[in-house]
Amino acid sequence: MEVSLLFKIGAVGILVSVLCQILKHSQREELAFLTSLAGLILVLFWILPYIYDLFRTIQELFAL
Amino acid sequence: MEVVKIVMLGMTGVLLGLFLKGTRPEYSVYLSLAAGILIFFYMADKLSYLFSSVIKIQEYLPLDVKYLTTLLKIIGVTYIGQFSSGICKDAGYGSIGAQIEIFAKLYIMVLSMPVLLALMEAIHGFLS
Repeated sequence: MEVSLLFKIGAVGILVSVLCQILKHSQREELAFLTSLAGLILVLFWILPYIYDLFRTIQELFAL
Repeated sequence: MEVVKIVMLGMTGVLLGLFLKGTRPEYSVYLSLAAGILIFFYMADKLSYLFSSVIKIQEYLPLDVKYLTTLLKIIGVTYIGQFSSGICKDAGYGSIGAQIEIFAKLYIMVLSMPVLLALMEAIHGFLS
């Protein structure tokens, strides 16, 4: 799960940008907006446990 | 070696981020956040080893544990402040990053004030 997280985020980014281009050219702006929003939320759900782990480790490591 | 792995991780994060900065800038912020967090997890076990050895050293010296925990807190506040303000600056929001840094410095001063007061009392004791 170390480097693959970066590759997954990159893959979602590329996918969403391609999808948005396609949807924009077929005159469906709102769908393009929705797909980019969905991509963002998906990546957020991947990263959220990592952020939580980061702050928990910092608190217990530095006795904050 | 461990350092090479960290450098590779950082480089992939930078390259992917650059690639996505043109079309999807928000993903480059996610990438820098993810790379920073992954690098921190490599640091975490080394840091815990360092801190346990510092505590072992501290047992030989007649030092108060309170000052050591204050030192640890200051290091932690510095690290998290630097990490988050760097990410804010990367995303283009320099002012928010500067605010975070100012608050971190303020908090460090608050943390170090009791140590300063103890020093003052010690000096006062010597003089009078």
